[in-house]
Amino acid sequence: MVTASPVGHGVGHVKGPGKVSGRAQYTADLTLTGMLVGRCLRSPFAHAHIRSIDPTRDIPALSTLLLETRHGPAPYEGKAIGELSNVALPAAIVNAVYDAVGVRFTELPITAEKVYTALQAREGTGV
Amino acid sequence: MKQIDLRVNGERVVREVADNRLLLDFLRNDLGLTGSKEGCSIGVCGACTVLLDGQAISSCLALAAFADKHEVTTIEGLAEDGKLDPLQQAFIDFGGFQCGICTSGQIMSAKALLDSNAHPSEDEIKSWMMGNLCRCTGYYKIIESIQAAAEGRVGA
Repeated sequence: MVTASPVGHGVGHVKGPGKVSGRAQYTADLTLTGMLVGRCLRSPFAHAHIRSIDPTRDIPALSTLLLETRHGPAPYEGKAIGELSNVALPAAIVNAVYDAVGVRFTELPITAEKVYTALQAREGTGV
Repeated sequence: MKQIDLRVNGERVVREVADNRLLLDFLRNDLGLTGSKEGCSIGVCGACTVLLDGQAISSCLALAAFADKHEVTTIEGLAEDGKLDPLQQAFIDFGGFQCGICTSGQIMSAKALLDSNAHPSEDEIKSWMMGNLCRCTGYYKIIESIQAAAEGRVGA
């Protein structure tokens, strides 16, 4: 089977020289003033369960970063992002809390009081 | 701390490094040679491949101190007088990369191959390049690029 698509004039890979000579800059190669650095930590133990998480150490204060591109359709070239930017992170934390203490929350915020109450209820000891 | 005295891409470098400084971090962070990439950090993906006295090694598994009194060549050191090495040109001509993250390591491994075996068979190329992973190209274009470089079919 053959597939064909018109490509117009075939041009060389403009990024080629940078990529084959090591000059291309990737995000991991950049250092900017005030840059925040995230790091993925993986358990060295296969199939290990997270027994507990100390949020003061493992989850530092969250920062909101506005990267302005000025190509949005709204006045001043802005663009609404709604709750998109909030979807992934709370879900990850909710899962982490569930893994850590065995109680799943479906409403934010997850306050210490809510966690305590839920744990007491689960243990059947009342508050 | 340890003082190391080595040659990097032909130039003498004398630096103080921590005993546990990885060669990759030394190259990227201390010398600013960010062409070598950190992929897996455990010597599996090959993105950090550099040449140590002509031998391809994973710089994420080597200590900077290990390179003391040796010659290190990184991707930045392949081009001479602004002219790309035939392997680099072949990767452009034959589309041996897409995102390019693995490309430095691919080219450095291929360099070590062609330096020791100027005309490798396809099977020899596949076997040699087994330690360099790529998630974009499907490998055929990489093999084709190395074959083209070996056969001098570049810069057409």
